[in-house]
Amino acid sequence: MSDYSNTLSTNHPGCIIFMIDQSGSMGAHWRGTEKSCSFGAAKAVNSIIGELVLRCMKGEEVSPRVMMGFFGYSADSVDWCAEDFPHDKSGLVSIKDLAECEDQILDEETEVFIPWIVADHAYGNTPMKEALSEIRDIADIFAQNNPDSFPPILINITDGRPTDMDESDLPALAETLKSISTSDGAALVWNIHISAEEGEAALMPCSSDGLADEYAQYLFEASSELPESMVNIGRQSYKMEIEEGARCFAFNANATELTKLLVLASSAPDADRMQGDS
Amino acid sequence: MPTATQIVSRIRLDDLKFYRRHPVGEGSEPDPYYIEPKRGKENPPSPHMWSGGFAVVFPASKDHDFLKNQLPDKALRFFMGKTPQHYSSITSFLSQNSHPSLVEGKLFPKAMELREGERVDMMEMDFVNGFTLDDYVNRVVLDGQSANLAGTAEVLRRTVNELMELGFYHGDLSHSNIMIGNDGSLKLIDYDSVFLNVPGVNNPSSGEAGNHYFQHPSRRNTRFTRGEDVYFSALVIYVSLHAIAKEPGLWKFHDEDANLIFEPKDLNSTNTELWRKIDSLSFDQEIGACVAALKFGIGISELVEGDFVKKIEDSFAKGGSVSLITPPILPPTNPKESPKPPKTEVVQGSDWRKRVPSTDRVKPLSKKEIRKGLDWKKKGEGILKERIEFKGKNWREAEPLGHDMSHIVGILKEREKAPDLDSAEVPSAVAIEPSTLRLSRGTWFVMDASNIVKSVQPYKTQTLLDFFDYLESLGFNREKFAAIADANLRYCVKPTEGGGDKGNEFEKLLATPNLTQSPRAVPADKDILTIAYAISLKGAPCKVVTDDWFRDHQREMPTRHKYFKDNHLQFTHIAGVWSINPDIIVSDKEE
Repeated sequence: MSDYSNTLSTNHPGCIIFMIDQSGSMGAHWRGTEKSCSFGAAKAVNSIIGELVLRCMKGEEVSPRVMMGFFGYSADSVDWCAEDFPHDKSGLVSIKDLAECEDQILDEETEVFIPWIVADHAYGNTPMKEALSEIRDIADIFAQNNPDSFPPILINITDGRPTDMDESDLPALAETLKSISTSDGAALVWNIHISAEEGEAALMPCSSDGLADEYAQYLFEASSELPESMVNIGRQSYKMEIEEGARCFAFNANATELTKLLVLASSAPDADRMQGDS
Repeated sequence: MPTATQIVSRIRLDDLKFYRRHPVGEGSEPDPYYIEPKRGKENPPSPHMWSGGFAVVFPASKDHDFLKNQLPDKALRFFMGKTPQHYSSITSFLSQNSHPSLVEGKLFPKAMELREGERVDMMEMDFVNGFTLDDYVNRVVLDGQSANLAGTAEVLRRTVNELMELGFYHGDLSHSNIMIGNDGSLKLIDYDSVFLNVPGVNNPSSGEAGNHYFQHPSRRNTRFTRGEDVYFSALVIYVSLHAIAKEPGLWKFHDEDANLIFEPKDLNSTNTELWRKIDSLSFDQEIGACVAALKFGIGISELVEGDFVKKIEDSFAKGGSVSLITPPILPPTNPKESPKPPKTEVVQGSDWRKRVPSTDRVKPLSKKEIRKGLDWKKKGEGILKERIEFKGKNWREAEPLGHDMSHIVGILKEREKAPDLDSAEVPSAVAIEPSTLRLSRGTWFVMDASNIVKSVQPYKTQTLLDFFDYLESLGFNREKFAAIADANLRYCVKPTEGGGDKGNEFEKLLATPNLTQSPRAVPADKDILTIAYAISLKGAPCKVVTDDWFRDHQREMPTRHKYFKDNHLQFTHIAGVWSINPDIIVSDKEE
């Protein structure tokens, strides 16, 4: 029915792949926080993993309902950045394995425990093209192996510009990702631009008018349109103001905004599967 | 919307206690709920929990803290999404109308406070000890008892019809919202989408759209539960159960966590593989009419318009004449094939870890049986946690299932991390008299494979096999022979190394559950001590066969070594040089 409505299940797992900019600039102090952008990005991604683990709990067990990928891009390479949790042959790791993580931090500010799975790095250049190309095959194979799953969710988190390509080529490159699809819809490409400095944020805009610069426009174009089912989740569950035609895109987001966006991005429709009172 | 992480972290920070807040102001109840801990190594400990899109649920109790291995009696359900506004009507309905399938509950608004001051509603419900319907069906199918599901289907049918009569429309019937209690009763849980057809109740006009593996495609969250929706989902389950009862092979259409056998595509069209299989089954007339009603529903684009209700009235809602209305029969406790191998995990650590986990709730034992069975844990702080597969009702006779010894692998994995189980008490020792030895038929033999093989020159695997044959000839069960070899034994038996094997006898034996190999550079001794002790903690008699005394490990693992000392059979003593020792007598009773 290709309307982004398929529930994540053991036979039809979801797929969420993070591409995380770990270039030198990510080492800068992030406004509103006590830490760097790279730390903030790692924390946001790890929080999402922690939440997904809990969402997959069934008594003592964790249902393998989500496959995840974590790729950091920095200097001139793209590396798996969840060192203790190697990916399998498909290039992904199951949420069931991630649930084994014993390393955790207590975020004093919010009083939540966050498993520490994705490491925090900041070094060198920004090989974004290579990152996008690298995950293309992985997402493609996932979609082929899981033709009736919710389509792959591909999330790029960056504070800068690619150093290995002309930024105007971004939309075309992203097209190759968006062309991956399952029976439930095309892959969703998120581009979340974060910024260490003050600046007005654009969160899930529906048009590129008024964006800060050309680069922001290219990133906008490289992002998928947010499907209706997820617009509804954002409005109803997270009280977000989302316009029709909103893109999976943000520019100049701060730490809180990044976390909120990732929560939405990772909340693929979930039929009420409560195990209830047992 | 609060996240599951926030709620769970709050409970972990309070050391698995939950102090219910008063709905207004800062006060909270002085007596906490204790939340059942989950196995695992997190520090602080994590709760046992279930989670879905809109709520998290914790098993809990106000009366005890789970330190002594008690069972939960309450389920605390925290709402992440909006609590449906008619919940107070639902809870008052529940307290005024009793039906055996309904679970009573109380709603406590704003009962939990999160860091930012956000408040979360909580519903306290009676705990249902049993299986969710999908787990139940899974067990019944594996047990080869699927014909019983016809009875379950009829109980569901009666339940739904009675509840409709009462005005209670459960709008989200699914594999996970129906439970089969350990007493065989059918319970419905999760009342978020309940429509009360009762005067004076303000039902919501929109809400959750139910689980789309069970709902008609025309159900949207803009349409709150209608009678048609209840009947449609009930039919999906009813037909699934009858179809599986006739043809257990249909269970292959089951997608764990998602459905019984129908997928959304099967609810969109009856031209699917599953439907073709169902069409080939022959049902009696009354069930056949229900199958036809479901197909009729699937064939129309809008469920609440048209003749669907009439079809229901002529079939499902009529009920009564089918004679199968009996409580579902509990699955026998001895599945032919265990869906998961028994897991064994050894954990020890600071205080909190001494909480003994509840026994595995999916085992259909009564509370009394479970308590009785866990006596040994009460004696000390037994910390060997495991999934026990029970055979027979009397726990004392419980034995690990079948021939699968994969749990041993688990012990091996834990070996490095596991400190000794000092605090656990050992079941009383059996003195070994040198002249006559009376051992129970169910005795396990943990064998020091290297020691046994090396007792006869040249070293060969056959020595071990002969010993197996010998024990078997005495009447012992080969499935309970667990030989543990050092990593290098496989080379010692090779002809090229001077060993006596002809071919790959060793590898062949290694491929069976009777032989396990310790990792390289690790002496098998430790594994032998650990495995024997682990088996004993299951309540099964166990002997260790070796000529070694393992004195090296006495200091390091005193408890395990003590158990070994008390249950040690010297290989040369009992086997001699392959002269059968007439002093061993097999008995059904151990002396």
